Amino acid sequence: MNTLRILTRLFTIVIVAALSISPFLMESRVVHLIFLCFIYIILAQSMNIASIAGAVNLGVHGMFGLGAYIFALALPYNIPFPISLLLSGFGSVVFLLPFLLLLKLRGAYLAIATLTLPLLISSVILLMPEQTGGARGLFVPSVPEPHLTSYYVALVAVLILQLALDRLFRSKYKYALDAIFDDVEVASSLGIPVFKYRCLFFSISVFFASFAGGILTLTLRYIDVATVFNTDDLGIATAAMIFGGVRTVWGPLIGAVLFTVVVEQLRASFMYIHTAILGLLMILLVLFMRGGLLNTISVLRSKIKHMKVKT
Amino acid sequence: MGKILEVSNVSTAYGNVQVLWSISFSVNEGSAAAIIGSNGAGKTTTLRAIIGLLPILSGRIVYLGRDLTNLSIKHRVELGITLVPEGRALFPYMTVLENLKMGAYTKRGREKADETIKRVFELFPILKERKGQLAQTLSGGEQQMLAIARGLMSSPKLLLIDEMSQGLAPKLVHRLFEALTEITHSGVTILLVEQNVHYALRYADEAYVLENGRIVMEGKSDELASNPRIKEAYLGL
Repeated sequence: MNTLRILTRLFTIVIVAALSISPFLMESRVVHLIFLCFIYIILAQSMNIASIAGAVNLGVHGMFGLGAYIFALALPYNIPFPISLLLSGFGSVVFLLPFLLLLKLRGAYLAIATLTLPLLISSVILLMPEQTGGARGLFVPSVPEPHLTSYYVALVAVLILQLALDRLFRSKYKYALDAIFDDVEVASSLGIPVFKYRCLFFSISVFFASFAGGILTLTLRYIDVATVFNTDDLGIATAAMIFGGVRTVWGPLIGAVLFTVVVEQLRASFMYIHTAILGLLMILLVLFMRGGLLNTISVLRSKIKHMKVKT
Repeated sequence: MGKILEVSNVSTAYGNVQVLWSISFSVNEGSAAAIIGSNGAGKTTTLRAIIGLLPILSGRIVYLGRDLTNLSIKHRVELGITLVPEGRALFPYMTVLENLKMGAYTKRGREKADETIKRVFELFPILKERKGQLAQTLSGGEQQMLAIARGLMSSPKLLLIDEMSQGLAPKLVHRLFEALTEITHSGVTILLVEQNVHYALRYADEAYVLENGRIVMEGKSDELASNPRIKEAYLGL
């Protein structure tokens, strides 16, 4: 193992250790910001996971909301919160199983179809007021130490995601996924089960987006459709993923951290126009840094390599 | 030997545009067959229908006695049908070796992968030389060799090859057809689609002439080669 790998590993361990003890060392405002970063990392990565298999998930905010509701509805039945959290993830996957058929659509059509999912889910919730509280919202039973617990659950979730993605990118499945992304028809003719892989990765994407919704609900006393089915979340997650680098391991994480901090600052300083600034940032991104930060860096690196070879 | 492939009254369309009009032909196991015809005749469409990239409107495609109609592409590849697509369609940022490994993605291919790689390197020694190079750095002829080699990696019984000679120098085309003869001798049936009628008829045992989505002529390739209509239309003689 070379020095760079060792250094990166050490660096990661130090960061993780620092994050683990920060709730006890830093002021709660900062800790809350870090917690929000975790949530957006999970959302951005769940979009990333779908993109890796050539699918698009523009409905993450819907899954987030669904996870929030499942969690809030499960708690009163005295289901211990870890199980409720897992339920919020798996429950969403089960609920959305029929919609996996949408993955047979291509490109823009799939994107638009996933975009409608949050509308569908929130409508179902609003139409069942007896079970879900409808438009009045839902009160969430309290859990001991909600902020600490949610912080650590989110931290563990992020760690699992990063580790899993890192392993995936080094495995042989990465080739198949790249092949699907490169040319779906050729990948199919090689016998790669494209639809199956899309379904699998999309389901994982759904799981994590919903899980994030459950984690956030841990910290809340009350949820309603308007707050948990928020397209702002989709905007930040998409911006994070695109800025950091689609289909990379660390891109969405870097993007999520950046955008969470930026958005919070913007919200504080430019309360009414922060979404406009966010939109402008995204336009600039797409124009000048296609593929995101990490992908632009690797493209630049290979260009530099080629220049060296020429001279 | 029996028939490895029987296409009966197959019609296909791209949306509202019908491309194949009830075509029928068959391929004997272990033989070399060619579909020839000019641009737009429907040759590529035929191969795509056989591998399953294109659904058929009517008719049947039977492979070794099995009706392929509702089988997924993956299933067909597992049964031993492989397509070498038009224009090579390699994965440009993967190395030669990685492209080959991708060819052995199915269970059928994986089982014999190591053995097949050895055979493939014997057949195309230049690929062994360049095995660590990115596919996009290979010349056109080498890329075509890689495409065929990748096709062989899935241990096919029936290899469908689309426009192999496209854009290649005559010497390379000659070399490739020699390789095809070796492949057929090893027991793999080849159905190829070619615009280069001269080489196609020299290599194949039987040929089918496709014009505007219909089979207008068929027969043993030496008979077709001496047929005046073929000579005039396709060989420029």
